[in-house]
Amino acid sequence: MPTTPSRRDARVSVRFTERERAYIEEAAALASEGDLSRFIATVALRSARSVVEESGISLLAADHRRRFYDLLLAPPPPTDALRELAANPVPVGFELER
Amino acid sequence: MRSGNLQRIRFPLVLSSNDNSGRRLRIRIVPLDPSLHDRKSFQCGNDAVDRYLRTTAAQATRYYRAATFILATVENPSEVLGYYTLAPHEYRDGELDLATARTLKVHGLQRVPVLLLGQLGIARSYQGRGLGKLLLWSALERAFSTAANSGAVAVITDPANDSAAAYYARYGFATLHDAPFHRMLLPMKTIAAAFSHE
Repeated sequence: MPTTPSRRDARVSVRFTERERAYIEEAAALASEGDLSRFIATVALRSARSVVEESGISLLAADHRRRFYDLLLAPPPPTDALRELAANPVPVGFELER
Repeated sequence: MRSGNLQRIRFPLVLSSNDNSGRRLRIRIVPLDPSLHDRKSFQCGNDAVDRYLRTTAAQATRYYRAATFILATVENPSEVLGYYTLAPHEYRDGELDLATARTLKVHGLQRVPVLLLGQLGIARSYQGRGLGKLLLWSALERAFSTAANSGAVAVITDPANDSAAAYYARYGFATLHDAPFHRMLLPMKTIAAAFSHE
């Protein structure tokens, strides 16, 4: 785990055929993304996120494990906004049928 | 943001008076019925949320992977005013010890069940009138009763941007991490404290 996780200094090297590379460059241009590696990174992150969300599974990582258990073991009291929401959810002008 | 002018233009009868004698728009929150609800016209301003309703919601419902709930009027039940989804989700932790698992009363040693508030959106023409709050209330109330039936120690959500994150933070959602995407969590016990003596 890097100490500054927001710095982009981790590298992944990927090999493509010439035709694949040309095709991806064409797509990057169509998406108005000049930087090919940024385009590949954006697409990879988007697709990683959808795979993870559809899997229904998240892995606890070192950078948020403590926070996760702190929240669950010592849950904060509801905020005023949450109490107000629970007590009075239906906005003016509407009638909720249940 | 409420706009009195907009409300007056769209629903003259609803806001003809500020007391309870004025007619109010009757609404319902119901499970998605793919043969009834118009999923194609929905536009909330977030492409991913619109696309989910168009392309994924019906199939996810059919296979019970995620549940979608639709906000509609009684008079025009096919028009989608807004919607949200809830899906079972689990955190896995290779380092979760037995004592912590016991304190959390989770089933199993390394799996922590939560509920994912995956999507939430209000149609553009109905925004600014408090309906997003109504859907959040419905989602949390439903999560609370789901947890009572099958177990879930928290509701999690991934806000699409900073203003969405600030919105959820007001209701007590805490940021778990903000990279590579923003993940927020609201403990079920916090929800219970607000909802159990409704």
